[in-house]
This record gives sequence, C-alpha cells and structure tokens, in this order.
Amino acid sequence: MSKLIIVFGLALTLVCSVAFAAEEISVGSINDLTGATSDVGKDAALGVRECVTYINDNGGINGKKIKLHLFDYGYRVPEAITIYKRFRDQDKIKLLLQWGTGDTEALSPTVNKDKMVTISDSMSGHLCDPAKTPYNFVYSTDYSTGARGCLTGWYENVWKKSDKWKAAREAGKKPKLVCFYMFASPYASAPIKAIKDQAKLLGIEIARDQDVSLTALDAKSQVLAAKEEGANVVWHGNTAMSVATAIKDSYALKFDADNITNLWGLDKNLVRMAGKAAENTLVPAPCAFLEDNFPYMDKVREYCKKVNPGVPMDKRDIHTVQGWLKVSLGAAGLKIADKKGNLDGPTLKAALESLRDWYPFDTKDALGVPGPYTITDKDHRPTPVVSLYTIKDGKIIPFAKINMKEQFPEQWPKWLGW
Amino acid sequence: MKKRAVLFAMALLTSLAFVSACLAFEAPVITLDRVEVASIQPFFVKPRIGYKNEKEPGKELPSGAILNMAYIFDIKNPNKTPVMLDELTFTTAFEGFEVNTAFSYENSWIPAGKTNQLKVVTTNETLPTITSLMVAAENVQKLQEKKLAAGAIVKKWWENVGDFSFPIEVTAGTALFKDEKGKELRVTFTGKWPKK
Repeated sequence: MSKLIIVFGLALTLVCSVAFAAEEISVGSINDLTGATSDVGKDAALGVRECVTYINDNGGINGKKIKLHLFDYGYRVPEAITIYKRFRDQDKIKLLLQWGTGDTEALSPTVNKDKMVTISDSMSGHLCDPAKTPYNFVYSTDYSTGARGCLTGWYENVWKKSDKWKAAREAGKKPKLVCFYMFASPYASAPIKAIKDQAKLLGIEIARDQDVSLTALDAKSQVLAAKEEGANVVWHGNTAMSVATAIKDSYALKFDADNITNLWGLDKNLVRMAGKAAENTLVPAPCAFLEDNFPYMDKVREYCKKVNPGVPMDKRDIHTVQGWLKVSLGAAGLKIADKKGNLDGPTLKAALESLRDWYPFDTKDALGVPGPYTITDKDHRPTPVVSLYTIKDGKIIPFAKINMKEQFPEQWPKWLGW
Repeated sequence: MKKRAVLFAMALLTSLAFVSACLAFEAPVITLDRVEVASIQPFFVKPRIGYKNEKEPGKELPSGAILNMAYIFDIKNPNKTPVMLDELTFTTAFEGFEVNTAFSYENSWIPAGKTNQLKVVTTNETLPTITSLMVAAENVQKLQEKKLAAGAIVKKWWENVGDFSFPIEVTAGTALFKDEKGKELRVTFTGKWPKK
C-alpha cells in the first residue's frame, strides 16, 4: 500500500509540473504603439497577441506554446534595430514579426545575414523577391500587386462601365491617373512605380504626382493641381487620416475623380472622417474586415473580447484581422519546421516556401484572405489575387476580385520585386 | 489492515486538498497606486546642430525631449498558493489622448495572500508624440474638436507633468497570471492619476 501511495504522489507531482515546464517557442514582434502609425498599429498589435493566445489555447505549435515578446518602436527605425538585436541575442526568437516599410527595409540586410525569418505588415513588393531578400515574407497581396489590381479594377468596372464616365469614353478620352502620397515616406512611395507601369499597360495617362504629407490637414493646392490636369482617378498612397483630408478637400472643391487607395488608407476611420466624400473609394484589402463572416472571424471577435476586454469593439478594425493573418502564417511555418525537428532560420524559411494553396488554419477562405497562398523559394508573393472593397452608404463591402497572374500571365513573373 | 486504510484515506484527502488548491484560482487584483515622473528633459523638438547663421543653419535632428513616467501598481494575490505574474500590458493616456502602451514581461511570484508592487517605466518623446497626435485619426478629431495644436498640448504636458495638473489614465490593462500548475488566468485593470 505504501508503494501505491508513493507512486500516486509521484504521478500527481508529475502531472502538476508538466504543464509549467512545457517547452516554449519565442517569437518577437516589433509594433508601432506610440508613433506616427499608432492608430492602426495598436489594433494590429492587439490582433497579434490575441491570435497567439488562440493558438496557445488550441495546442500551440505541436504542443509547444508560443512565448510572444511584443515591443513598441514608436515608428523609429533605430529603435526597431535595437529591439531586433535584443530579440536575437537575449530572447532567442525563432520568428520575427515586423511593422513598417522603413524599419522592415532597413533591417532587411541584417535579418537576411542572420538568417532570421521575418513577416512584416509592410507588404512592399521589394521584399518579395527571395533572390534579394530570402528571409523576408509578407502575409498578403503585396502593395505593388494591390495597386496594379486596384487600378485595373477601377478601369474595368468603373471607367469602362459607369454612366459617370460615359461621355468621356464616347468622346474617346483616355483616363488619367494622379498619385497623392508623401514622397519621403518609404511606405507611401513603395508601389508608385508599379501603379504607373500598370497605368501605361492599360492606356491610362499619368498626371504629375502630388506630395501630400501623412499629417496633412489641408490638401487643397494638390487637389486643385490634379483637377486642372483633368485626372479621373486618384491613387491615395498615405494612411487614413491624410487620405480623409484629401478626399474631403476633393469633395469640397468639386473635383470629381474617383478615389482608390492603398490598404492602410481605408478603414473605419476613413468612413468616420470623410463621410459622404469617401463613398465608392476602392481599396485592395489584405483580408476580411472585422464584421465580415468568413471562417475563423468568429474566433477573431471572441478573442478580442477575451484577451483585451478593456478595448471597446467599436475601436477594433481590419488591422486586428491582419494581426491574425500574420501570426497564422508564421505559425503554419513553425509547425512544419518543428515537425522536421529544427526551428532554425533555413528550416523555417523552407517550411514557409513549401506552402501550396494554403489558407489560414488550413481552412478554405479563413479570415477572408484574397485567395489561396503559394510561396516558393523563387517567389515570396503569397497570392496574385487582389480583393477589392468599397464604401457604399457608409459601409465597407466587397467589390471585386482580380487574379493578376491569370489576367496578365506574361507580365506576372516580371513584376516580382517591384 | 486498519492502519493501511487510514494511510490511504489520509493520502486521498491530502491529494484532494492539493488538487482543489490547484483548481481554485482566484483572480489577483491590480490597482494603480501612483504615477511618478521618473525623469524628464526640458521640452524641445528637433534640435539643430551645426548652426552658424541663417545662411548656414546646420541641420535638424529628428528627435525630441524624453519624458519617462513610472506607473506603480499594487498586485494582490488572494489565493492560498503563490501565483506568478507572467506578463502585463496597459495603455496610458494624457487628457484622454493615448500616448503609450507599456509592457512588463518579467516573471514575478506573489506569495499567498500578499500584495506585491510593480513599477513599469514608459518612455515618451516629444517628436513621435506630436506626430501621433497629428496622424492618428482619433487624436486628430479630438484636437480639432478642442481647437488645440498638437505641438502646444505636448509642450503643456512636458511643462506641467510634475504638478500632475492634467489627468493621466491607465486603460485597457491586461495581466496574465499562472498558478503553480501552469493554469492561466487573465485579469483586467484600469486606473486614474491623480486619484481625485
């Protein structure tokens, strides 16, 4: 009997200690919570943490929990570099999650030298060519493909079909594009070369670029210049506040060009700030908006309330879903690499490059991604599909999907790394 | 035989008590005890270096003055066993404008029935603080409603924070605790300073 008691006691001790001693996988996340992009950065960071909690609650990475180290860099590149060094040398992270185009491009030589896999919210097309940046990954349609798709979607569905431009079409007029963006911002300028190339491909004329600050509270002079040149469509390359300023000024000055914007330009804040003036704006969305109904969106909303109950749901936006998408892609790679028994950079990189027709959580259409992802060692663009959304009666709704690889098969391989 | 039965019953009771202690995990309570100015530099934005005269003005550095704030929390463990604070995060706001999000990832054990104190220091810098007020949509709206300029309000904060003459808030606080078995419990908290 005494033996039985000892065995029982030992078993109990073991059960109680196993959970605490479970192996962890360190993941580092550099986010903007106080800087120039903190209004969207905070929402995205909350999504990252919530998705990690969801994954840990549901078996982790093959039974191992993710230990998330999430820090603010205030949108300052030197701070991001310092945080990365801490992650690499002290926290021994296996995967790096990044935020802005400036810091992601600045850190790119270092992470590639260190063979550290990184997935960024900057979906700059420059980061998608593994011949140049083998350890950089993006989690949805890259900016350049998105900009090309957005312009193509406008050209085919609006310019060619709408009553608004019927007279111009019938008069044989060519449409004209103007780009509004902050010239000095790496994010805003990243897809400009690509969208202008696409304009030429579609036979769209190009007006002079207009320099609009990310902090602009007035864009009247830029709007008047674009109006004078007779532009029919405006590409807004900035973030929501600045885009709202330009769209409101266009409305006030009766500049009737249509608005298309990069993905950080359209969210609930644009609808709130620009109101009626923002109607019909097009955006290439990286995933579903928070209220949409796609597989796993119920989990996203559930974990918003579970992990961050202090943040009201009306303050949450699409950027939460982007956080989930980024983490779910990283977790898919970690699971494959872990099964191979090695979580080092080359194995994790190879794991991500083995994804074929992948959806988050291996569930079709999960999180409303534009299309299935295929990532190879020759091409890190996860999908050629551009998922366009628009604003109708103050609501953000799906507009169209365009597969750029199918529509432009000859050009698609050449666009890599733009 | 009787002795064996007594021993078995005792072992069973001890085990049950141990298991129930493991299972009952009451939420620790976090309250903001006080806020301190940990360190501060006089207000400036973009210092100019190499200035000689108007023709040779040198160049502006993209940096500003630093303000380090310390947030001190009481963390009470109402359990009969120790619990570990695994991580803690919260957002700070000056006059309703969110200015920072802080983290503490260091593990610390709180003895049964005791209260620990945790000091979390945050760093604010004038330039990014002003920029975030000018770019973040919600902040821009608030500034426009209050007819305030971003630079002016940040200057006021730097010059008056020592007197705590404007409200400082801790919002969206979340902490993750673990018990000895590794069971997790998430706790939320908020706070205001000055308290009155």
